[in-house]
Amino acid sequence: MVKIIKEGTFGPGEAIILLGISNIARIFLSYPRSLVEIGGSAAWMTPLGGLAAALAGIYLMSLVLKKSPGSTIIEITEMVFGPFIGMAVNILIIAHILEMGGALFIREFSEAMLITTLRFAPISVIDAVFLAMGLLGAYLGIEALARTARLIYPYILGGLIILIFTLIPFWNFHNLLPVFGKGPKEVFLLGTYSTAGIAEIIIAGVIVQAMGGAEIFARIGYRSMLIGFAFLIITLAVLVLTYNWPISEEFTLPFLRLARTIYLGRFIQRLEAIFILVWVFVGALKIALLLYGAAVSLARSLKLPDYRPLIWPLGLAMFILGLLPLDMLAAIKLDIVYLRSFVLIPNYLLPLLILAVFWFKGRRERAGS
Amino acid sequence: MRAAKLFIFFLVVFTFVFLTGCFGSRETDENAFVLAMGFDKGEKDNMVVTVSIANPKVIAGMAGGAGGGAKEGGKNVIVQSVETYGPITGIEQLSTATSRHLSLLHTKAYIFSEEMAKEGLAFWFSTFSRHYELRATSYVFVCRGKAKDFLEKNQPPLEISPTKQYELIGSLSEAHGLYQNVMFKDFYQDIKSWTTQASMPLVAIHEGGLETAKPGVKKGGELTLGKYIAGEVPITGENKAQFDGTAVFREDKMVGTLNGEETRYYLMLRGQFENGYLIMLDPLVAELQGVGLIVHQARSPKYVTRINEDGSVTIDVDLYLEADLAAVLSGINYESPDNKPIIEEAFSEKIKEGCQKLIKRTQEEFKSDIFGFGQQVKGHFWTMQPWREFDWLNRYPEAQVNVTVHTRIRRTGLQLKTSPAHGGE
Repeated sequence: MVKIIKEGTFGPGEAIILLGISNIARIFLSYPRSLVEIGGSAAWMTPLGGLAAALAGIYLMSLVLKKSPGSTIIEITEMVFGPFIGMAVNILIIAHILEMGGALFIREFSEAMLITTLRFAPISVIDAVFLAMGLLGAYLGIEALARTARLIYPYILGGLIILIFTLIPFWNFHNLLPVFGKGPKEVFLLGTYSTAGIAEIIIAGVIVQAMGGAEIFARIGYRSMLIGFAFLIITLAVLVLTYNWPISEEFTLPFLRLARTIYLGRFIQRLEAIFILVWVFVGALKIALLLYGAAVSLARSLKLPDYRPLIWPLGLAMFILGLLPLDMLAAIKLDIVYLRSFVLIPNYLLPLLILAVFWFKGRRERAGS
Repeated sequence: MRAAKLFIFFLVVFTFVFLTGCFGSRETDENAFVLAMGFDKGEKDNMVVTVSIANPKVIAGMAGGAGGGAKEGGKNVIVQSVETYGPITGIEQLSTATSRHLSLLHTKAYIFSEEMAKEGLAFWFSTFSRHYELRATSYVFVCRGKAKDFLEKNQPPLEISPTKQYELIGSLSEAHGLYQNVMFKDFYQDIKSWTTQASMPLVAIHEGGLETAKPGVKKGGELTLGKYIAGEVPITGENKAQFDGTAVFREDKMVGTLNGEETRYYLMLRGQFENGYLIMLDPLVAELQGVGLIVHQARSPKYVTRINEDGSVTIDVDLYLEADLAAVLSGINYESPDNKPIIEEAFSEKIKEGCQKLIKRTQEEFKSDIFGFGQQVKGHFWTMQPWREFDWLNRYPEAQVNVTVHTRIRRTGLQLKTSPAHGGE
């Protein structure tokens, strides 16, 4: 009998905030720029389809989790596809979404730090510092991460809200015209494809038991998705309102540009240093969550009693993978083109497949009886 | 738990070892802060880059009240120039003549000579936009004459630091509207915009004294204080730097200038005119007497746009102005309810004429929609492709723009009635 991995528990509030903050992390990278490129003046609409897809993804995942209330998505996958295929699918998810996602995230966050503040620091040092924060967070466990998220979220959300309001003097509502930007096809189809790929659905499926079980999974999932997507939509709207789309799509780090634009007279300006602190909080939490997700999933998949010994090798692999892309552009391309497309499979296709298998099995059983 | 404690212990130890200072960190006293940068066309290379660097020794002395720096005869800024390929190469080259790292983190103004502006600025703005030290809230100007001369001769007598001068200049534009307030980000957006063309405020050094004054209304000239552009305003005194008028751009190239008065109409049509003292001819007297009004824009203009069947565009603009009576040289009692509408109507007509004349100039002479009418027309399109194909910026010269001005005199200053000078007893 395999000893159950101790994950700790936390309330739905903490779970919502943890997943919400993890979802928000992408607005600090060059990701919003790519959405402006897709949608133009209607960039803010591009996540609407992604939000609908994410809510549907949460619903599907909750249906899957309810089939075996005491298990996580890892065990259910194995239960449905058998020990070999199930384990292969799980390891693919762990390697691609959590491990590769974490690696690219560390790299992109480190590049952002290099561009903004620590211009002459070696990337490996910044990578290592982010990883160290991630390792510590993952080691302390999901409960510690959730409680930390609960502790710092007023600062993160407060910072974002301050940013939005302090930029009001620079807003030009005509920048949101033409209403449908580069066209409904780009805004809604390509926009949905580009924004629906989030790691939080699968992470939620992995930590479901710590969050309180399958019964409250959907409630937590919906709310965290709403928080994450609301901030993405608001950030895109503020970006296009403040800078028109032709130059918004030029920015490497749109959020930094916005923070540097704050200018409320001679006395309130140069507030970006505060935002860089917010970035670090969010970045560290996200990396820790991805590393934790990867370690716990692998431990569950390999039927290990403890996930913690896996943190070190997975962390090291994350560090090395993060340094593999030749440059920042390659890392961004890998993230946006490859990773965000791949993440659609475990988010949406895997639960559908699992439900289909359950349905066939049930039908066969009914036919047999 | 023991392992976690050990991990934290080692993390703290390593932190002490490695975080004694950031990589590439620079203390404040290792930097030389460039407060303003000027760009002129070079004779042998692309451009002459001029920087105005804060002199902390003198500024600290002046701020302390003792005037230590000033006593020693030092200037609060040090101006240096180099002929070079581009702005960033210029900074690198200038660093060979300074003991500190030249930093653009506190640069408040980028000043381009008229000659450079006429050749196009997109390339240089793009270079700056990429630069990690740029602040897009810095101000940008076009200098009549050489930017190098402007930076060398601009010595604001009331300010310790020229940075403050440029920041105050921005807010002062709201007090009179003789020039506009353009940040780096505004100009950069407009040169890439499909709806609005760019403009910048004009600056210049005024060489000379009162002899540059233009004839007043009684000597065949205009009745306006805005008939000048920077460098022409007849002012004598210590500081020779002037800010007045607007440089008009088509795409990224400067194609003409507006004087102070035209700049006011321009700001009104954009809905950015905050406040200003305007003079008009008294409508009830035959002599050339002036009536002064302190005017501000009551609310944003109302724009109604139509795309006609033949593809031409009609734009109706309604301007809403509020005014205070400030000076009535004729002594007519314009405070009375009977006379007030007369002056309101005459003033509306004057502003309308000025605006229509300016719009015609931008259509025929500059072929440039600096007013941003395109932003209104854009609303007729659902997606960007048809809007691009509509090619507004090339259609603008043929657009029909009708201006209507609504003026209301709300207050009459500290006087509610004007009595005749001889009729009191």
